[in-house]
Amino acid sequence: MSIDTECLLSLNNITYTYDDGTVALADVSLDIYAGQRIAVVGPNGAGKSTLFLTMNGVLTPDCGVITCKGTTIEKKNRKLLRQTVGIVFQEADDQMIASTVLGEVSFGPMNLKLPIAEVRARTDEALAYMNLTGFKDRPPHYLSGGEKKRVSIADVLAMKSDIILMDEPTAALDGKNQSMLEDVLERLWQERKTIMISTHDVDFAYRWADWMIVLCDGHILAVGDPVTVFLNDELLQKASLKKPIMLEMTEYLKEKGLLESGVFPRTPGEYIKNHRGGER
Amino acid sequence: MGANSIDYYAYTSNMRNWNAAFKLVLGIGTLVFTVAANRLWIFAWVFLSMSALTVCVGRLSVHVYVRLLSIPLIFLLLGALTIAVEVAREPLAIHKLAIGSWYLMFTRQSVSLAVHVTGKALAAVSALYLVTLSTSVSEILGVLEKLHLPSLLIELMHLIYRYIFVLMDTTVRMRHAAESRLGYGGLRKSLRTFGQMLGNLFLVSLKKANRYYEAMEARCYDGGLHFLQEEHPVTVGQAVFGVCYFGVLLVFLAVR
Repeated sequence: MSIDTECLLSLNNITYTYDDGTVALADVSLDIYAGQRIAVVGPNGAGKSTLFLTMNGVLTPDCGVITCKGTTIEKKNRKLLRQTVGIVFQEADDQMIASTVLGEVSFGPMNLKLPIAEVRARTDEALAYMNLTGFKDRPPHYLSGGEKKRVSIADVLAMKSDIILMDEPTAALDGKNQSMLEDVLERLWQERKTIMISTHDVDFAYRWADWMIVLCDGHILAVGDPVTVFLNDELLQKASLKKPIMLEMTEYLKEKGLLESGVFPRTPGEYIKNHRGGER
Repeated sequence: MGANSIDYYAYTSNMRNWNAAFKLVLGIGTLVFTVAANRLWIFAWVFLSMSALTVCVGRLSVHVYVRLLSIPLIFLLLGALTIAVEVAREPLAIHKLAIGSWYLMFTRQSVSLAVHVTGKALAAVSALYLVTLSTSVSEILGVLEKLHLPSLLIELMHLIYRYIFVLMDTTVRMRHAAESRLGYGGLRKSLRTFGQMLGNLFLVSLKKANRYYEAMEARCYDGGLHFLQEEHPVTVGQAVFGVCYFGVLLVFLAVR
């Protein structure tokens, strides 16, 4: 895990209750550093989306303190939080408001009150990043599902936030678009962006994340590296999580004595590397 | 969705890259000329030239253009009929139909007036079609913004335009879901399902509006909708064409 000494965002004892009395977040505390890849897992209704909206400042917690780059967030300086943290919503359609792709991606930078030249530069850069330059003039209703997702990611990239939250980004994507997404995630990680993804895809979480947060009924059940989390059978049952297929395979191979203990390959490629190393 | 809507034709038009303000001036200007003119051959010329622009330069298929024209044409012809037919107690013309002591008839003046009105209306429609079939709503809004229309109106139009498609999409999905469960078998059932669907659509709209607001807030929305827009400068050729076109119209108007 590559951790910067600078803590970008810290949540302290955050509680959020909906109008109908449902406690969506109960006493949640988290520290987030630059360059982290965090997967948030947990059953439906665990509070993942609420957590994201709170981290971005759209929802104001009932109690608790949010600190962003050393500044305590209050109503007045919520903009700092929204600038630092960007959200890619689960339904791309729910975040598109402009009538062209260009207008849509420029919406965030325009709200940051940047000079027009800077807005144009950022928008063009984000469009090129997501391979959307040819779609500038297109209205959102003539885009396919995968293209919409790409636009919604470009929306957030144009704001140059340090932390990017993605709410179940793989849910509605086909295989081709999923590997496109993983490429983008890899590139963003190399640029030391912090990425936090909520997902039900445990195989993806195991392969990609270097840090995991397990949420259940608004409580954080566990925080830790994927191997530790997924080896905890009691935890998995409590949060109704399945075990990743790679980990199951690893355990099976260890049982058969085909893999030395202490090694946890995350991908088939890593497994082969370890296996050949063992042969020598 | 909407592969045969006017919005889609505007989006796919070959004239899309023309400067939006130029297209609006060309269309609306021609409209004003048409209203001012009162000669049939000017109407014919405007209709033919505007249609030629839309079809040949904009690359819209003739079939589609005729189909779109037929919508206002039905209203125009009905209107023309009421102008052409005169009602009087005296038989003033040769072609007449007696109903009791009244006569329905065509007179030379009434027919001429009907033809003029129809011609003028058709020419005007063709000029407006030039704009609507080549300019997307976002571009028109961009021009209105430059004309300093109140930003509240512009923002409302932006959101309404975007929402039409969201609402249409939701409706289609609900309709399919209802149909797949035989919700539209028979008149009684159809009415019932339709009512339920409308109620549901209202609730879904409220929910969606909330989601949109959250998403806008997440991107630092603070009360003003501002978007970047692609600028298409007027080319020399287009400017020369515009000046010549209006020049010709002026000359036509001056001919007595």
